Amino acid sequence: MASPSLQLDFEKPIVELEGKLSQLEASTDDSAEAAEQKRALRRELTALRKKIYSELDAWQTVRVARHQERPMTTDYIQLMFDEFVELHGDRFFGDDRAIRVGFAKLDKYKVLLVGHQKGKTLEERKQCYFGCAHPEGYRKALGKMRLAAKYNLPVICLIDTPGAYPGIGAEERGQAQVIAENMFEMSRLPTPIICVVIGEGGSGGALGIGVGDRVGVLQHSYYSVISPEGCAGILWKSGEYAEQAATALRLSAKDWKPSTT
Amino acid sequence: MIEEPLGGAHRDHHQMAARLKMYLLRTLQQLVTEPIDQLLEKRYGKYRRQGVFLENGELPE
Repeated sequence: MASPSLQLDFEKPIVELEGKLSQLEASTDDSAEAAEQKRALRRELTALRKKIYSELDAWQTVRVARHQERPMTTDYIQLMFDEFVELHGDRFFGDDRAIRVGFAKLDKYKVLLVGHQKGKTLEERKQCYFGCAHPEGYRKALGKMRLAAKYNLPVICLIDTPGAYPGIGAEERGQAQVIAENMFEMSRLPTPIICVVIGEGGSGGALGIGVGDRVGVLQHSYYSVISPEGCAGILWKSGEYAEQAATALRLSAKDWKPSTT
Repeated sequence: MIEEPLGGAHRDHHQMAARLKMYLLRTLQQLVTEPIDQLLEKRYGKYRRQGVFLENGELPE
């Protein structure tokens, strides 16, 4: 992949070094010295990446988890699965684009895939409400998960949401109740369920498709009872304290205790 | 925890997808062979053990 645009300030030294390297690679000088210089630069780059990424603090982790170029559910659908047939609608209100559900094939396994989608372009992001699902999304997910259980298909959930949508319509249509029902049903759904937090694991929005036999998290994702901004808003009456909140929440994968099961 | 490629998942979608796929396949293999009632019992136990709360100042069973 081409060098991603600079969105994270702590990545600045990495991007600078990458720039130097690509300059060197573009030059026509193919002497032994130039080759050695390139090798040294590459070694330096790897060491630098390792250092910066092993020392990420909580707030930096949150920002990596929210990176615009971070792979999303649709990317994983394209890259991991052989087939994907999307299923739409909750048979009640509408089709929530913030949650994608469909039958998929992962090597020899036929599975049901459920995943949050945040959207890539502004247009898609608006359609997906930036990954904040409405009750119809969770209801859709549950309905299709029941269908999967009927056919003995394992369920895979990819979690990537800042939280469930907190609007009036969402509350009117029973957001909290729908999430609770999903957790209740998923805890006894008679088929294997694997959940993976691929980016943001925000609160109830994550839990609504987050109960399973195994719950995995990607290294630089976060899983938290509330988004750092939400927490800061409640405790300090201002979203400006999100950084402090992130630290206090202990939300990164490093903070997880390894499961004993 | 599933490790990400060096420098974060946004740097290498392909490798990230490959790692996640490996995790999913390995886990699926473990889970699909297990009898369903045993699986549900374990799932229940997993969440049950995550915490207890006090009722009237006493620990429940």
